[in-house]
Amino acid sequence: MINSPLSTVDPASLDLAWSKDPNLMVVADVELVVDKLQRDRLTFLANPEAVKKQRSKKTSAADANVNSIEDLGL
Amino acid sequence: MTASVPSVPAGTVRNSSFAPEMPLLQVAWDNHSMNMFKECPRKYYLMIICGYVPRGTSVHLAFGILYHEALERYDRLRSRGFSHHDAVVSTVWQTLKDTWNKTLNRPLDWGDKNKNRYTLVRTIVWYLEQFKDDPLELCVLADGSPMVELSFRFQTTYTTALGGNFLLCGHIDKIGTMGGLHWVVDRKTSKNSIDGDLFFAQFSPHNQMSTYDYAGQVVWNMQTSGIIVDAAQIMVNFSHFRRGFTQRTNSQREDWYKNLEGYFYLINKYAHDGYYPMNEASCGNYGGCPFRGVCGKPPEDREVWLASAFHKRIWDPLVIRGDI
Repeated sequence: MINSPLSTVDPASLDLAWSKDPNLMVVADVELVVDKLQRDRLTFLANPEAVKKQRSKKTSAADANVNSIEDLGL
Repeated sequence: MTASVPSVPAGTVRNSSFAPEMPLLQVAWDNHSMNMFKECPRKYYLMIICGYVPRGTSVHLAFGILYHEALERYDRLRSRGFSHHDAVVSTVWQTLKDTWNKTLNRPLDWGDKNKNRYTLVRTIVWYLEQFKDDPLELCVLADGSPMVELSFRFQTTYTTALGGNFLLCGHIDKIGTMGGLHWVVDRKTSKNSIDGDLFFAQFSPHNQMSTYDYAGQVVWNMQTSGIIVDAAQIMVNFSHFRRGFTQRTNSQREDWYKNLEGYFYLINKYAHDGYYPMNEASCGNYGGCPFRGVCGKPPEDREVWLASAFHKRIWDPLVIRGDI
């Protein structure tokens, strides 16, 4: 199924999409990926407690190092 | 010039932002170079002049470039009349292609749990959903092209040791209008928290934001109000966005510009002397400078350590980013 231009992504699992050559995808494959991610967002936003908990996670000193690397003027 | 002019180490690749007559003198300065110079002149020498960077791909740089390219693509498609849905699909498809290793026939893998192919695509889709009905309207140039991914350079009044003027340069993500005001837009990604007042407080004073704001005024002759920072926090299970504003008054602009003078003086001096001092006070910043292990060795041993732990790449701020 992988690498077949006619295959589509299983909406129940995105695993296939990540292991499939995107050059061989069709529009419907990509639309399924987008749709799944959009629904994931709504599911996440519908759970405000989880959002609050996740956002409040502390960052380590090692993570702080990324500030200097991320700040590349991008 | 005479043979006494200090030069770059043998094997250093030519960088167009440096003066050929004075190889250590960088005449075109972007924020990355300037920040490095301010942080530690020795670090600047090793990373910008010599081009040493730690071995291995920087996931933050790779992720950031792909994220910016994707959002630029979306903006361009929308400005050409594509619907939100079609522009998102096209953007995601291109990102999936850009993150595919054709040689190995598998996705790119940076080995990072926060910043990887999946979180990249998720962040793009979630960002575009959040700002689907963005009140910020994209500005267009006189020729009709959208003001996205704008490479700029402008001449300062500060003179180089060779008699010309230093340039400031960079790449602006986007310029838009909101509430009747013009804003430069900059997008940031981070694994760190973007909540609370501290995150956006870091952008004033901030050399990059002040440079972009100044460029908006000087290069495009726009009365920009400041910078909108669209921040994205990339976590394993979610992506989270906040939009912040950092404004500049004319007096702040003058103060920032005046502040550059002392740095350009030192830039001329160090290039002339061929010596870049260490700033040991910054060795421990941001979790530790990557060159700490090198600078901590006897000078005669440093080349060996550099050769073993680093590879070379050119950071040339004059290279213009083209359309995607």
